[in-house]
Amino acid sequence: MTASDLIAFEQRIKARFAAGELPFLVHLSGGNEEQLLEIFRGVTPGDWVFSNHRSHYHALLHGIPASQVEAAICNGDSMFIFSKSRRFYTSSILAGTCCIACGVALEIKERGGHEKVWCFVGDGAEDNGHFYEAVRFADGRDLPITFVIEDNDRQVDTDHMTRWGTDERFPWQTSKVMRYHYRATFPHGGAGLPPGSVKFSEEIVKRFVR
Amino acid sequence: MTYKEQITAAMSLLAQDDRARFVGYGLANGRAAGTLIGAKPHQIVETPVAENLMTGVAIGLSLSGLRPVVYFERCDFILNALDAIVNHLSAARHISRGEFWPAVIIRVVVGNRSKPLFTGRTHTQDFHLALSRLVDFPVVRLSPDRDILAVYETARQAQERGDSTLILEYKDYL
Repeated sequence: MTASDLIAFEQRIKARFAAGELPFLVHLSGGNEEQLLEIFRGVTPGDWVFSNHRSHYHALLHGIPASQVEAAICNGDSMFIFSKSRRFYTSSILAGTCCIACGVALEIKERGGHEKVWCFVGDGAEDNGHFYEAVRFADGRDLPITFVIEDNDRQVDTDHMTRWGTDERFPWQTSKVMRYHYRATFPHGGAGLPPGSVKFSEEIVKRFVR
Repeated sequence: MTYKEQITAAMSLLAQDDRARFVGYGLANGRAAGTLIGAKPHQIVETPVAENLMTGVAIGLSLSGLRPVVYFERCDFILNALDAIVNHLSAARHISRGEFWPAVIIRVVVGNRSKPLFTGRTHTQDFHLALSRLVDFPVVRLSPDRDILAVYETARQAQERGDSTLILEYKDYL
């Protein structure tokens, strides 16, 4: 999977959204292809990946076939892509996976396994106390886990300076946390289309909204 | 058997399964008010006082095939863990379309109102009604006339099937 493949995938989803085929919330990825490709060079197929509301790139890069990811998205599961066989788990609750990922990592350590856990969060989730609890637990117990902060300087639509009064990032002093910066090419939710420009037919809404 | 002896026996029953893990705080030293004497040291996962963390850790252990029991020493404190309980433990099988079935036994102590003293409003609340509306698994209250071993045996079997159970015990009976 290349950067172009990733971008093309999300463009396809955007087109389907624009065509009114997806009457539900989607969070598209974009702008972080190179950073993720680099990180996923270190992720092996047996590793666990915990993703979040913006999961499409993570799912694709952890080996879930593009056709399967696209089918899930088109079935209303953009925020709910899971795969037991690929060890891929998501939550669209901010920082919701962090403590669960710690439990998985704890079992690996106890068993003496060689797998690793990767937990991807945004800089919004980094703000949350649930992230803090998990990082301290993982660091103190030296769990086989890496928390990756995908910092696009945006918590939904608010930058770090506005919400914290400073641009300085919190200095996580542990090897369990890494951060990369990127500029997102899509807004937080939706496909960046003008408000009201996408029409959903009654039939399609009936089929999906439950 | 007294109420406490029954709970202790129930914990020992769960501990017979080597996959059992008791997760929470006050376990390594206090042994959950002495009720975990049947658990082996490696079955105890002592955590900080961080309720959402300990519940999430239990969910993660369950995803990895273990049989976690998470312990709340006061029902009041469970409110800190509702994200893990409601949005994750209870929702996982639905939002994952059956891919993941984490199952945790949640053991909750409702604080003492009278024996030997009143421990205060925010140490004696019983949220069983609210909890039963928030989750899609059984919420069971252990009144003194309940067969406590049978309740935990049912919870154990449910966990084996991938179902969680929340069980409230009452310090006034301990």
